[in-house]
Amino acid sequence: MTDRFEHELSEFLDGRLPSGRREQLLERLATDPEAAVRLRELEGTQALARALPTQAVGPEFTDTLWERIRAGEGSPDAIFRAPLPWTTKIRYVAAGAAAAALVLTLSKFTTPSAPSDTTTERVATAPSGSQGGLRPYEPGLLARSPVLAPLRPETVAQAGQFECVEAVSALQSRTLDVVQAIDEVDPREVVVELDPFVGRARGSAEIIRWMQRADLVKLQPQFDTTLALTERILERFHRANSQNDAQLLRVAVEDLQELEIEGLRQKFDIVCCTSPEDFLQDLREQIQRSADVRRALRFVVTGGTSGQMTIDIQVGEPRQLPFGFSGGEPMLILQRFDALPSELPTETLAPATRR
Amino acid sequence: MRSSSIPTPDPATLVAFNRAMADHADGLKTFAARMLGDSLAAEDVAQDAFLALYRHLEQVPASAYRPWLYRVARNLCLDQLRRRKFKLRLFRDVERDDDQPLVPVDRSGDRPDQLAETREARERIEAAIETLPPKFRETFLLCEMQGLSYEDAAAILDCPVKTVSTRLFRARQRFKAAVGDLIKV
Repeated sequence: MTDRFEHELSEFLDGRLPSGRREQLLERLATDPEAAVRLRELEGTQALARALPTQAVGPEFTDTLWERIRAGEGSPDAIFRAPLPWTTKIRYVAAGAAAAALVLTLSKFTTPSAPSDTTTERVATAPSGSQGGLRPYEPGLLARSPVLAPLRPETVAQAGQFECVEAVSALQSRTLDVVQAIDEVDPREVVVELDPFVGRARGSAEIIRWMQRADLVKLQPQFDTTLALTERILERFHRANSQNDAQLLRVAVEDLQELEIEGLRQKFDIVCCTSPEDFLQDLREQIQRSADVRRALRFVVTGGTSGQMTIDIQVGEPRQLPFGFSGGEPMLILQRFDALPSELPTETLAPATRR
Repeated sequence: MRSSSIPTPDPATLVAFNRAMADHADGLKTFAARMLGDSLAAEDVAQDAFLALYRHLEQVPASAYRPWLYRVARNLCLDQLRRRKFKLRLFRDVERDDDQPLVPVDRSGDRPDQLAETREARERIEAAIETLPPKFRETFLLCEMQGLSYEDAAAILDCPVKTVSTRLFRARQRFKAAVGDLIKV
């Protein structure tokens, strides 16, 4: 009984197997007693887990909650904070307090919801075709919820840079945890854990490179070099994944630990502008071309005929891309931002921020 | 805690919020209890998650309440676990006393021999879940025990759907290896 077949059984149990494979599996189950036993074991496993009792909330749960709401109590801070290992934090503290604070806040666990009431204080934009460049990350821009920004070269570039730094930071953090385990476990298990971050990092690097090739941004030499190193390491992760190569994985992990991520935080310039239509068309092509790019950018669609806001949590599923929506305006969820709202044309503010 | 004044939700939203409490509060608490191994803290997590939802009702469509709540609950649990881990590192010799056992099931109607057998089996099942690697455990808790879809779990865990499928499969393998003799085929 192969691992793959057992995985298919698991998906079959959840009704997740595509119809073609499902037919084949049903045929096998009808003729292979061992396979049928495996399925029954899996069903038994599920029944066992679900037989555990549910824990009911106490009788005062609802009353206490409404008391807290009436008292004006706010959301717990932790809901937007990344649970990073302390080893990682210490490493970042050693690298500088600003970097540490940044990593704590630039969290992948930040929910991609629309902005809260605090989020309009700063919004992402720069004048179209600005020569001034984008500011590098600043500790002063911490602890804020993400904002919505129009899809423009400067906002996409910022999002790409943000995502690149954040995904590579997260990857460094997680590889610290797994580096000791590579020899002890199936490399595929390690790769499964790291794959989302590798994908996001690759996608964001692709975005930056596309914008560089299209002469939309100009990278500082240090940024360019660090990005090239990052791309090489990510390629190793990718190959380690496809070839199930533990040695290559170890090399990639070691190189990643050596990578000076500060280089990716360098300021870069918007050097050329393009028409919004052309830019959106080019961006759409990038998104359709690469699953990794889809992982790296997050969108919401605002507006629409109902006048209500639709939130799509992007998890790399092509069908969730907002460009298929009619009547809605795709907006970028941006988690770092440079300008004050007064610098942003009012028509580009998301409806949710003004309601 | 961040405090802010927000407008009162419209009646339809309030109805949806109340329904979400009725439908998901127990599940959230159960999920948090298995993440934390602490029933009291789990109830706080569930309540904090609903409080956060209330503060973001305008931004979260009713259809997304459930994954949103679980995502928040998961973050709160991970935050607690991280703080707890740090405390343990600082005070290794101080015994942790804040962990409460899971609320026992009322099995007063069972015969004593059945009770012992059931309790033992339950403890083994609990232990098998507890010893799953964290990523596998949370996927197992969400999909296998709470019955969330792969898509919702992926949104909660911020990972691709395929990863959810793989983690769930691995978790089931390990769980079966640990308690396979209890499974009646």
